[in-house]
Amino acid sequence: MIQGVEVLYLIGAGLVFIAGAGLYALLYAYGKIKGSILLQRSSYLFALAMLGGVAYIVAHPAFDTFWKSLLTVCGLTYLFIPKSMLWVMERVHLREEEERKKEKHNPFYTNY
Amino acid sequence: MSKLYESQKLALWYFSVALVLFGAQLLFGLLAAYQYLNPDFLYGVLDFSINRMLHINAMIVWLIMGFMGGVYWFLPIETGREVVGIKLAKLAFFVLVAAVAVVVLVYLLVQTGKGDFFTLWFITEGREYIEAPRWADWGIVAVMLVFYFNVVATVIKSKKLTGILGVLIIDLLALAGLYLAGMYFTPNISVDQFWWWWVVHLWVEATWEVLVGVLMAWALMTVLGTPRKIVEAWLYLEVFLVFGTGILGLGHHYFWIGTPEYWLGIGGFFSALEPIPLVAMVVHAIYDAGSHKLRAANKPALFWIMAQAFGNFVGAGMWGFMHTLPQINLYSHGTQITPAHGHLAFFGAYVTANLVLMYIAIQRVRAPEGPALDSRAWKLAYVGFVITIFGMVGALTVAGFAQIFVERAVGGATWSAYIAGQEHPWVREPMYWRFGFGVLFLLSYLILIYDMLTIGKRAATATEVKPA
Repeated sequence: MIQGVEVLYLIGAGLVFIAGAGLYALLYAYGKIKGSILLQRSSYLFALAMLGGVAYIVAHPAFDTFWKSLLTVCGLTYLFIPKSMLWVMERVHLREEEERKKEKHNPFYTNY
Repeated sequence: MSKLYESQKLALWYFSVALVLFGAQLLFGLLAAYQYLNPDFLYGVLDFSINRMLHINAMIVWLIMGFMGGVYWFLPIETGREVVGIKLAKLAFFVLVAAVAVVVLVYLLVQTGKGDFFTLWFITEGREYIEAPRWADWGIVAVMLVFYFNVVATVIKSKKLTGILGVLIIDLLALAGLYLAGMYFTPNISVDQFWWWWVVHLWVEATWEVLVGVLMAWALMTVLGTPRKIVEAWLYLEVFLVFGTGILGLGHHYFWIGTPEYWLGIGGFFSALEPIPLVAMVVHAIYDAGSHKLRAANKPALFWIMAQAFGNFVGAGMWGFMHTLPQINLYSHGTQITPAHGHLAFFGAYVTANLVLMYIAIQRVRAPEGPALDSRAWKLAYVGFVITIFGMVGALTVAGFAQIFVERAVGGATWSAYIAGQEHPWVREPMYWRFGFGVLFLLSYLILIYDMLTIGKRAATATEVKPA
């Protein structure tokens, strides 16, 4: 059982966990596209916040080994999503560039 | 007006009715929000239960009508021909609108009474979110079958099955099939709820997400000129991630309804993974925005596309995950945290998507050759919507936290603890804030309607006078 105000801390930790994952993804991707090292490094602060959020939940005795393992894997997965998604995006958009060169782009009604 | 397919004209009808129902949703929502502050208001005339039901039902219907409009808009473009069975499609539209009007009238005229098979068939089914009486259920199924026939027959006739259309056909089948699960009921409330969630969860967190993925794929092609191969590759990945995590994420609704204990593990596991596609969408949106430098001929559509990616993540991902683990959900389910999540997720994922579709249609009708679709009003509505939805959700979240603490964690979820929670200032006062932000949200809606009625009109006139 979770006692008193602890439940609110756990909800807050969950919010920090996913918000951190999102902000890390956002800043990392934006930093990469802009070529800004500062933004990329800032993104790691949110990755740390994300890990802090998940660590707080994992450390709580209300979660047994199964949940601790699950949440740890989950946290690590979110750590790699921005890099892997960006890797995918860069490759598919390379094709986009090639196709753009082939066809004249009409900005008002396109690709049909 | 530029030459449109009949199917696209039908889409405009769908969009128009959807916008009217959006207004109805807000109106009934505001009345319900005010009844939190003044429970005697309209008591016996228009009860809270009816307002809440109409608020939610109007939302479901208008969002679906918007999606159907989106499909009718893009289908002839995608297949290069008029939709097969367009007369039937128009008939189905009028049947749907008439059925919705009759159902709403009956809800308003018969607000209380006994519950038996007559009321189930002709008044209300009485099951949360899918209260439509059984005759209307079958009417909805018939309309969806016509819709499905329109899509499949058009694809067959055109002999053009693209990847996007393939996903659409499979998804619509799942969407229509799952609705049937909502008509099944048993005297055992646990079994009944088990199937009921198939409609409520699997529609919203699986089939609707994929349908929006299809519509956003077409929207990206139209607004940003993204090539087909790219959007299709992204769509397949999204379908894999959404279905992979969302289908068994259903388990988070099975925690406390009397299903076996293993649902705690299944529901918690997949729910923890559900934000993954949403985080991936954020990366996609950033990449698209960065590579196009936010330049497009349809400004409002572009900004609502961005809002869709981020809104889906924040509303469904953040507000969903924070109370989804069963150890935490034991304390939070049924508190104001749930409507906080619901409001933000539906707005972020689906309202935004519908607005994208509507602005795409507006541009095609009013300014197909330019100049760029832009105005001050859409920006005002955009900012208004974003601020006020977060205002409402913030207020509900504060109230939810207070409920969790006072009613559940300290009070032990007893009846007296529930009353203590409801009377606590931290639960009561946020309701004033929610109502205030709700009024401002309605104001943003009115600005949106004004914008949709006027945007691009001057541009279209200028184009007629002096073609570009």
